[in-house]
Amino acid sequence: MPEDQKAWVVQLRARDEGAVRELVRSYGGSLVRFLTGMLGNAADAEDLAQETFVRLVEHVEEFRGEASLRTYLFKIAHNLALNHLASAAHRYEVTPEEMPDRPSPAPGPSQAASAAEDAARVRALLPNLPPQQRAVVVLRVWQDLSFKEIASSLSLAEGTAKAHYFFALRNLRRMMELP
Amino acid sequence: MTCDDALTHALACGPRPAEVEEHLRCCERCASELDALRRLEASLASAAPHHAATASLETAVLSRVVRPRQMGRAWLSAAAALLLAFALATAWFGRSMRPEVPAAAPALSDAAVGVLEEDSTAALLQAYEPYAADLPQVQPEEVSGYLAPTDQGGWNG
Repeated sequence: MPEDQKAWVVQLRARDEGAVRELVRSYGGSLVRFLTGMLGNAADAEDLAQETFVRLVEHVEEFRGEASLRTYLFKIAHNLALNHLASAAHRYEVTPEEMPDRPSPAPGPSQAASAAEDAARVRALLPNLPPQQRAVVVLRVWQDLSFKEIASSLSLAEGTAKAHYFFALRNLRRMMELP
Repeated sequence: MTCDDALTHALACGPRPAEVEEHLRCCERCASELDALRRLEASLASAAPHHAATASLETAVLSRVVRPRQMGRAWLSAAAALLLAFALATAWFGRSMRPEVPAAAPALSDAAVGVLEEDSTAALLQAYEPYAADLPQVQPEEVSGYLAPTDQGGWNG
């Protein structure tokens, strides 16, 4: 474990206010972003992000330093998200009101508007992916994690994480093509 | 190498080995799908929600993992303050409920003790004199019955 991270972990164990504050400031945004992708809404994501930080601080003595704190944080968040999705009996379909209209082929809006619509549509389709694929895509595209880090966060083999990524993109593409 | 292998490698791995390059060059379907998936990746990247760590998230986390100990101390201080306030209020209330004692009362009480010791009405009247204005006015006939000596040498009353 790097020295600075080791010192940070010691401070977190002591529940040092400054260390906890730095933790939330460093990873709060990316954690909420990841959980928004996983859960489909920001309010639940913020609640779960809070729970993730609390779990990390409460169980920081279990952190062995084999991966980075960030990876460990995403691992906790991913497990919490899966539990949340299972317990809340969330469906993986989006409701019609969440689904943006497909851009009409002609006469079309400007190219920029079309790109924005595509972005909104693909984001709305994310919850339709199986959770494992969704997690890989969000960690890769929105968090810029390497496949090694993704594999560590999700307790997968690196090759499996890569395969999930490819199939996730292919599934999204097919969903985009549906009328 | 299958199409899926080639696409997975092209999307998820770094530099493409010659084998993957060769496959993509020869397989039009894969080349076209790779372009489409790259565009989708770009769309997805631009769809990333923009979240900064909110102050409320920070406060909520701190209150759950750091504050409890300090909260304990705060509760103790609050309890001590409450106890002190209660003690002061009780003391003040007790004092305000006590009947007012005329200024003359302590001196008269001393004089009364002197009278009993000396058995002298004159001494009582002398002691009463300076405080007469402070005390309720009583007509002599109202108390004469009490002041008249009895046959047994005592006082009525």
